[in-house]
Amino acid sequence: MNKILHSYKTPLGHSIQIEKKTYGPASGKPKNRLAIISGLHGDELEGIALCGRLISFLSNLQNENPKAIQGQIEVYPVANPQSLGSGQRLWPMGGVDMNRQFGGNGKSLLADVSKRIFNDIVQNSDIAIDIHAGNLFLKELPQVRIIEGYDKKLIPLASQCNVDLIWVHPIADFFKLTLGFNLNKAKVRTIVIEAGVGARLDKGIGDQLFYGMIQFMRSIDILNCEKPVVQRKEPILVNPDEVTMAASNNSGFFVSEISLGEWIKKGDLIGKIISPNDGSILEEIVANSDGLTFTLREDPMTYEGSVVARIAYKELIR
Amino acid sequence: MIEKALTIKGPCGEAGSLKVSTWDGEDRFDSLSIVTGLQGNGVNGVYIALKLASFISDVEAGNSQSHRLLGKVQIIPVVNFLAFDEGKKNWAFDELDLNFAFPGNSNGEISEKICQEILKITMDATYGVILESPSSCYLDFPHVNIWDSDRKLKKAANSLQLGAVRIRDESPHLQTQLVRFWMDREIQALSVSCGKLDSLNIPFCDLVVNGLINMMVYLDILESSKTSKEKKKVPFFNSGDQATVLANESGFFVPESKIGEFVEEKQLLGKILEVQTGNMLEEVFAPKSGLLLKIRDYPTVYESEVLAEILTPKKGLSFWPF
Repeated sequence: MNKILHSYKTPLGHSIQIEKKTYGPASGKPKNRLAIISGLHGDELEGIALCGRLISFLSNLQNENPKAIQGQIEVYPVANPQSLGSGQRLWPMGGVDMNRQFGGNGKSLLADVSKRIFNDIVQNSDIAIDIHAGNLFLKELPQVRIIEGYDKKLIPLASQCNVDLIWVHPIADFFKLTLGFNLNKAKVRTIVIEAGVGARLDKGIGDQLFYGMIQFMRSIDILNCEKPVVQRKEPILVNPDEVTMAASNNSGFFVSEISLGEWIKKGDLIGKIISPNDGSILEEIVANSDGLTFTLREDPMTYEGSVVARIAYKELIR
Repeated sequence: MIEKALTIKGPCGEAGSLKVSTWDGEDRFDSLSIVTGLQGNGVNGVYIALKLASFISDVEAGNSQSHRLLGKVQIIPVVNFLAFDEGKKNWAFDELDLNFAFPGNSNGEISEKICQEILKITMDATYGVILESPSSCYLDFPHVNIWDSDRKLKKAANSLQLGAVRIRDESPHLQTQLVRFWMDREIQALSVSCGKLDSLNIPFCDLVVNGLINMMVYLDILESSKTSKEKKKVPFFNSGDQATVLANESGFFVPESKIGEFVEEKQLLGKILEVQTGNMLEEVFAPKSGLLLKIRDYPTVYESEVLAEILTPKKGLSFWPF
């Protein structure tokens, strides 16, 4: 079922619609109710592409094997259509961040739209997945990020998502304005996925997330279908003190010597900072611990302090 | 004295510096930090800062017949110097609004370093003033914001003699702003808002410059031999004393009232017109009588967006002292 959750007009009179697609069991009460949301940031494309693929899959399943759908799935593929249209992270009129509109009392169109989406999820779902990509600079290995305090409730769910890593991290003030934090506060168990890089799609990551969502829906008895077969990844659980960050001490171009997802050892060369003026090597950045590279700089331009990689250095289960 | 507190190297040399101007006074007096240019296009704040810098330098050099510097004054005229050089609100490289990036991190990315440095530089101030303007969609009548009802702070806010003082509630958005961290460090924190980003409003700026000089005199940071004029009554408004007017239609907003006016209930504030035909989509009226503090200045408007803010006290206007 398609529903227009909210519609508003642009100053020139065009209609902008925020839609959701709902799938449920042919009869009876759903076993579980799941919301999948993406596109709060218009340049984070992996989640939007994933939602499109899930909608296509679920629509076919509903036609061909309706009994396979045993729970309720609500997909909100593009929460912020105008940002997607302009290829920007922020809402173009005024540069407002939609994922900082939750839990506040702001009065604006975006705050209003955010409230409607939030209320709809709270009313109709028990579990939610909010999908994001890295920013324009950093590419992220598919991972679930969990704020400390919610880990016990969320880790069992997150471990079903076919991600490489679950990162439990401390709360920062800005999280209090995000959808994920506020849904968890409202007792909708919510997993925040980060994968890929801003403004780009990666087929491998797209496949991993798609199979992850299928596996996840099976694990919570929403789907009961044999295909597609999923070889689920066992994610590494990383606590706040088990992440190291490699940063540049110079301005220049970062040229990576490793790949995202690569296991590296202490002392391995992560990359070089090259002078754009004469090509000289300004700095060699080496790993300060063994571990998994789960974030890697994609945009070569660096300033002093720019993050180039994050390493999960737990005693690793290789 | 002008110091470079932080210099950022770019790929092809120096990208810019965070500069701080300081005029030292005697330790027994209070000190004041004035911070502006958190947004690179906050040109009103920058103008106020440069006028004040010129004034204080004259006073310090003994060129003023009427004033003498007693306490320390520190002015940071352009916090987001990288965005200022680009003529933009945020630095194009990271698009971060610096007033939502506090407390920052001295080992972090450039914007985090700048925010951390601002806290470090201003940590010893007794009073802190942030000069700001709303987004270029709105126009603000010069007013003071405070987030604490402390008597001393209210008196300081009153001494600016601007159009209004608003006692604000702490919202979640405040958690990453400079004013929050100043309050945590027991700095008496005020923000002064006027005009709008991207546009210089000299009459408004002059009001604020005079206001800040009044405040420095009131706080004994400046000594003045001028006999003080009769003080005007500044209305104080609590957080609930506000009516926000929202657009019901998307279109082209044409204002019909001016900020700084006391508007009557049902007074016409503006009209929203249809772009293709010029037909009236909505007439926007004041829901209550009060001081029109903010109005939409950029005509393109979406439904549910704010068109105006009216300060409207529940029990009639209250003036300092209460």
